[in-house]
Amino acid sequence: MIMLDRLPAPRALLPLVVAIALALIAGWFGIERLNRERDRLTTLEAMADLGSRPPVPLLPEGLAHAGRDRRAAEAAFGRQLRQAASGYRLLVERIEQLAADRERPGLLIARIAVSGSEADIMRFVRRVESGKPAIRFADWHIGPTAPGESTIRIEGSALALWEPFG
Amino acid sequence: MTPPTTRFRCEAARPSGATDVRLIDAASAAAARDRLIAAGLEPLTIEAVGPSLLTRLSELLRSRPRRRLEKHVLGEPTRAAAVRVPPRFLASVLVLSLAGTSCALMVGSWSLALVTAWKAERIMRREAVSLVRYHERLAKERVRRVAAPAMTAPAITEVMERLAGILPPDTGLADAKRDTAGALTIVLETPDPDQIRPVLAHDPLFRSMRSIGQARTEQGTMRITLTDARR
Repeated sequence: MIMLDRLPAPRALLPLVVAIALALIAGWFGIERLNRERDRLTTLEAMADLGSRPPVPLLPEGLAHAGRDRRAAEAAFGRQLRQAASGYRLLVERIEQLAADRERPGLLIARIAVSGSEADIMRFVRRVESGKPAIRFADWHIGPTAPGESTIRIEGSALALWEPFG
Repeated sequence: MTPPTTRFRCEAARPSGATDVRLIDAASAAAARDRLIAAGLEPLTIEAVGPSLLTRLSELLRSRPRRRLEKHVLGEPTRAAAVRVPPRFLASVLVLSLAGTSCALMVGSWSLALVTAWKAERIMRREAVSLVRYHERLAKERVRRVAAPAMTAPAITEVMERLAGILPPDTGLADAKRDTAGALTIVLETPDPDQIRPVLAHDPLFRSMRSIGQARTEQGTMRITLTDARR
């Protein structure tokens, strides 16, 4: 109580208090920025480390479409399916390739519907599944084209891989 | 309370005959002599050189608050008043600490943030090839995750050949499908459905199949639908 009269007036302290408050706010933003930068640095270091390791191929050599051009891989994939179907005189009802998925550019998918005799359909399937590059059916359905019909149809999603990066 | 002491300059002889000079804080010359004798020395001269440092310090500490209090307080000084720190000093220390801490926080955090950003930029420059390969690898892993079920599941040819190998001659496959989740569903036409289940149970590929439908055909056979889809 005795010494209070010697303290500076509150108004005189205001600039100092404002300066301290501004410095604290700037410091808080600095810590936020520091956290973001550290996260970014850690992520970049991990990414660079993973990127420097040798790649693990999706499939053994020769089973995936190679080459830098995805369109060439799509064309080869479609050609492979059509040649297999025409080789056994099957009726190609549909071979329709899906557009490239930006997240998964290496995935080649074609919706197919092919019909013919049971023996020819099975030969077609065997040729497609045993060929190179490899093709597998992600989903499929084999059954008669109509009740009581002897011809059968296979429809489903044929899947192949494009692996341009080695 | 400690009695005031005086500093004495003492010359004393050791038992070996050598002379030793010591400074001793004691209440009196006699007390200083006693301490020399107790230390095994023979006092030669004892000369007072003034109050000891301890005495001077304690007097100084006692006198300063009293002098300040005498200026501001009427009456007897109390113990609390003797150790009171000026509020202005306290306020100054507080404000300066706060200002120093906030400035250090601001400067430190932004400096570290800028250094970290510079390090990140350096990695982006130096490891550009690795970063591009990382993104390629990421895309490849996404492909692997989607393609793995189809690539590792038994092929259609294998399913058909194994069914042909285990089904009785009088049983035919009417329909077969596998969905995107990998569940296999087959439709069989057989004269005796009871003979099918043990046959399928012998093959690991069809062991988990269960009947989900059964109907009689016009030819008198039974048409049974089996699946390994989870319920």
